Amino acid sequence: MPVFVLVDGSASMHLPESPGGPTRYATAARLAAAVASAAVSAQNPLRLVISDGNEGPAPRAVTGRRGLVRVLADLAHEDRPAAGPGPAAAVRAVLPALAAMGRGVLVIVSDFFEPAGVDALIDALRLVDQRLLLLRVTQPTDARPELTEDLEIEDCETGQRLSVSPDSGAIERYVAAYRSYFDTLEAYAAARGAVSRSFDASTDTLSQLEQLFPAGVLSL
Amino acid sequence: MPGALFFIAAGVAVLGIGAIYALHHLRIRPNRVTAPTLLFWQQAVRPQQTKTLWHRRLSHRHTFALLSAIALLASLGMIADRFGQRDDRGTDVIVIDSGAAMNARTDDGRTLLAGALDQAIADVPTFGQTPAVISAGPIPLLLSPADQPAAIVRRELSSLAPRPGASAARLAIQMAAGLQGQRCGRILWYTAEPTLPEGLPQEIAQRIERRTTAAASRAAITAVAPQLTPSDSGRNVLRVTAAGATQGTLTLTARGENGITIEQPLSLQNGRAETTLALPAGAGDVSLALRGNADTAPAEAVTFKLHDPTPPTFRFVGPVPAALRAALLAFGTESPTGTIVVLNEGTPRPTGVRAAIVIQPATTAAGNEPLALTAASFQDAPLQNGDWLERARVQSVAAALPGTPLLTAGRWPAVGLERQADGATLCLSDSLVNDQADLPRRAAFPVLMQRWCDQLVGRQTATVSIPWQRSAEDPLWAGPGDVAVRQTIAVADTPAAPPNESAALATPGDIRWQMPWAEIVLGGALVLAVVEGLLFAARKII
Repeated sequence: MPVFVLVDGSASMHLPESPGGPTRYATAARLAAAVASAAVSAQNPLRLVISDGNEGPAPRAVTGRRGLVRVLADLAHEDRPAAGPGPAAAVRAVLPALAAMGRGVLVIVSDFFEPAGVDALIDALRLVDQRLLLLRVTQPTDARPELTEDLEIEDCETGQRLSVSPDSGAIERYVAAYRSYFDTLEAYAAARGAVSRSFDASTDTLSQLEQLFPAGVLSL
Repeated sequence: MPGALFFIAAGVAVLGIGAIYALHHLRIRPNRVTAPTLLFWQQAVRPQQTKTLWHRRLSHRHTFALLSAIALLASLGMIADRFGQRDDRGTDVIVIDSGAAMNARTDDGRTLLAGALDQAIADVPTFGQTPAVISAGPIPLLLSPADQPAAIVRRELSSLAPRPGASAARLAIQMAAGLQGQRCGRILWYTAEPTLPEGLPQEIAQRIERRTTAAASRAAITAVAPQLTPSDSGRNVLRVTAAGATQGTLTLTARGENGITIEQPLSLQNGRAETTLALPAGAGDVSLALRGNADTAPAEAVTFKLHDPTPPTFRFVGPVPAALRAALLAFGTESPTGTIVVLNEGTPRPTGVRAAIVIQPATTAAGNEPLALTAASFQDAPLQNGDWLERARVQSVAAALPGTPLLTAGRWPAVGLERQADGATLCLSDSLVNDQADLPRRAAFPVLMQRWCDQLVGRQTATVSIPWQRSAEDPLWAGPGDVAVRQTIAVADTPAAPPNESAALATPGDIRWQMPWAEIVLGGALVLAVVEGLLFAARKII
């Protein structure tokens, strides 16, 4: 079964939670490598795309260890520009390749922060005919950030700024918005039979792979 | 002029502006952090409008805060300046005795009033706040309110001269107390009188600091008043008062134009003396001289013109009250326009008569309804008919503006002057001049009638300052050209009003705030500042 791995290479994936800390992309790369290795080992055609805003040739199917090495080398290349569209646009960008691939599995490794909102992301995912495996990479403060003083927050991807004050109820409203966003995404995934897993970028990735490979097998 | 405290507050306001602006500026530049997405923050907080450069630089919130800070501090400064230094000390008031008695002279030939004025002018700089100035002549006059420039106060004092009448000292002091209101202050009473006026409340008397001038050393005639004695028709009876420090007996000499000479001894007791002279009719111009027995030249001399008391300047038509008739006959007037007819209302006015005195019936038979003074120098003071006649100060009544009802009995004027195209009519209420009234028997009534008649026939002279800094023609005091008399000639006053007469002639409410609009504007800005502070504390968007 063909496997298409789409790795989110946008700026948010390369933003560490603290200076010098682990990035989401590092975890995403390990996850994508694990999936790619599993796919190649099972003789499944593999295609991998790192969404960084650069339009490249259509991904070719990768087979064999040589192809896997090439894929791993691409994943390890973190010096690429931290840019790229949101996940919805990334999905739409690979739709032609997916159509050419035919039936198979689309693995999306991302933080799934779509600036246009969860509905735009779901609309893009609806256009995917393949089975979905959504691997979400998170940071510990994603769900409940800390806010103890007035801050000016800048979006690393859009450059937009927002001044916030720690008034009463702000954190609760953030948490509610965050939960609503991903509850909606999870509900869609469950409705179409997709598999959704979350991985903490601040924790060792290998120890979290068990949830992806229970009993050592990736089951979709 | 704002005090020093206001400028200090203004300086603090300027510094406060910078501090407040800096705090506002710092507040809108918090620490900047980078986040993977603003997707959830945008739903969590209300974005403040200071995110853009435009709002950061030109936010109306900042402008409002700055204006509020300025208004708040300036308001505090102005309020402190207005109340901080004055509450304890109150308002001082200078009361200058400018009655006729102050025209007596000291050894150096200067009048007592001149000495009092010199003393008061010298004292003005010693006051922290320039005092109000009241002239205590026959009618108390507010010459200058408090807190005026010292130059204005000195100018008003320098313009004072003895008035032809006794000093209304008690009313003037009560007027001063009224200016002070609830705040304490001193009443500086510049006078030659050895004692305070009688009848002053203790609370007022204890504020008075009497600044006595040097006693008059030379005898002086301080008042000459005609007296009405119905049985003395054909004679002019004069009451003469004198003052001075001369010991021993003085001689008062009256010489008439027709050669009549009358001498009379006069002894000063406690610096004062009073006597009566009776001059026959036809004396014409009369000269009064006062000298000590050892003097060869008179210490004081006055010359004035006695009116010929013979009729027929008055023509009485119909029954006229006897007292009024006698008063008019005793002090007639020269009427270049012809005869003055005296008649009751309803009696046809003879043709060709240009001037008339019409006696109008009283509005009530009992005549006890209140009389309300509407003269410009008085506040409304309801008085009983009979009581008023007992206590009236005729000079006060005489100071009313021309054409203004001098007295009213309810809605009807007791005395009024109406001018028509072809003449004038003096209307007198019967309640004033009937046989039961004593107004015609008052010593000054004839002179009062003379003045009213002079006005009736169109002769008006002199100007007089009245309260509230207005000037108007005074029809009832003789001008320099009317009667050849110096200012020592006075109209004899009636007994002083009893202590329960209405008090101050001026109230604190007459003292206007110099800049009421300032308090209104600053008060409004203070409210805005409070509102802005509350909104800021609640983090609401303005």
